[in-house]
Amino acid sequence: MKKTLLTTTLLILPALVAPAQVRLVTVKVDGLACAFCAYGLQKGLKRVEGVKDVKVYVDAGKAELRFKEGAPAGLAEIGPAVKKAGYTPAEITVEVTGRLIDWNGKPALAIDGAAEKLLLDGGDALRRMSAGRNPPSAASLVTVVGTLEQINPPQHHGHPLTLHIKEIRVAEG
Amino acid sequence: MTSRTASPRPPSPALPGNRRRRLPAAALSLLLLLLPAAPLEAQGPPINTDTAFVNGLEGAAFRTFLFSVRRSGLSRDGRDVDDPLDREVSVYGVPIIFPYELVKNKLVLAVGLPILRKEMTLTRDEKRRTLSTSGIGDAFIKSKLLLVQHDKPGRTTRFAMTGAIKLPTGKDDERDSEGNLLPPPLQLGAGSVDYTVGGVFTHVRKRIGFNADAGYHFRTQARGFAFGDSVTYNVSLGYRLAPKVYKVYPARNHINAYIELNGQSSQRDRARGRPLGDSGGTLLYLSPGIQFIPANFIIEASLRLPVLQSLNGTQLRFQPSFTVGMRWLLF
Repeated sequence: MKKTLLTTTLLILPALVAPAQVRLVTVKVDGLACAFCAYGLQKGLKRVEGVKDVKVYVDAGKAELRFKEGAPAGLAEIGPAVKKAGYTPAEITVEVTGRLIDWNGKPALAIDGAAEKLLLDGGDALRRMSAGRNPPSAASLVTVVGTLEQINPPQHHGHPLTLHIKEIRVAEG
Repeated sequence: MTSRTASPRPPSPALPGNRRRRLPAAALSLLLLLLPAAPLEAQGPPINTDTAFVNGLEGAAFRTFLFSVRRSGLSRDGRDVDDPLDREVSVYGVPIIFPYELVKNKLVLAVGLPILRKEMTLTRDEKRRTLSTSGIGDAFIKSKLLLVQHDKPGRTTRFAMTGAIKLPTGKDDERDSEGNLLPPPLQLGAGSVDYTVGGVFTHVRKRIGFNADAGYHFRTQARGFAFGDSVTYNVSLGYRLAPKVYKVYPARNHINAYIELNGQSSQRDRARGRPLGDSGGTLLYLSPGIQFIPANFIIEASLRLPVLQSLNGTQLRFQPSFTVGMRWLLF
């Protein structure tokens, strides 16, 4: 009975934990100075892989992208999409849930369903979390909010994008 | 008075031979020049002035509008004089303009074709008579190349170069009911291929937009006649009346207001190489306007009030007119 209950719990537990995915991306856009500017920007950002919805906040000068659950997220496409629409991408903030992994000796986040990993930069935040009451294990799901470093394509080839951590926490189940 | 050198054609009763019966055709030449230079080439918000943007509306919006130009009241060297023929000229045009962004955020091409109606009403032999033409005018192809783009949060500064070619697709041999050739400014087309080069500057910051453009128009000759070269210059200040804070695009109550100065200075027309005294000059309009943007299209209207007219020789004066139109995002 106890063994059955434990097995059932272990089977249910992963389903209760938030799936690994990109949740929300906020990109600040310079030059977004008119309503029809927003139209072209919205159209361009909707073409980014995995995007479900785009909202453009004109006066705030930013766009919010929400992604489809479980689908790959084209994070590297966001900056170029803004440029192609005729504006200048500034800070890109990402809220993403994934699993902590090691990539060539560096901490990284693996996003299930996504081809790319994100290198994590922000040693203090990671160390504080590891030293905390409930340090994450290698298989833990964590939610990270950070700014995406935009790397030029020649340097990006085969190299993960870097996420500069603002906040990191164990994902809620 | 001007006339085309077309010896096979019978002369118009208004042509040289009877000065008292001449139509001030040369006096109307500024009219024709104004048509392609002002509304037809002023695309995108603002209403009568160009903008340095090549994306958004500039690269993806179909545009059409109704514009009018009216002239009446004779002026000689700046002084009002009696007009024994009591002439009135009205021009109505509906240009249809399609843009296409050839290179994303860099180069846009626009093709335009105007539908025109021109009327001149005058008194002759104590009877009120009307000469009119309707149909397709001269088409144009315009390009705009973005050269400078400086973006900051909530604002942008841009500069673009423009170039255009006007093609002789409009008829230039319309005749009146008696078979006489109408004067060149009343023809639907100029009969010539003309060229324009220019530049546009834009600075937009949150609710305020400033745009300025200038262009030089090279006119070539057709059948011995050439309209004078001209310079156009336009300045616009726009302000977003509503919403006060633009949150998420699209806002349903978006209204812009504009105040513009639209000007043109033209050389004299030339017939057989000789300048015509009653042609050319400088004209400046003050144009308040308003735009309503409910979704992905614009409805706009503008008054055009002539505030400065320095017309060479004897010409009909320009009267207040209007522009009403729409733009619709296609792509």
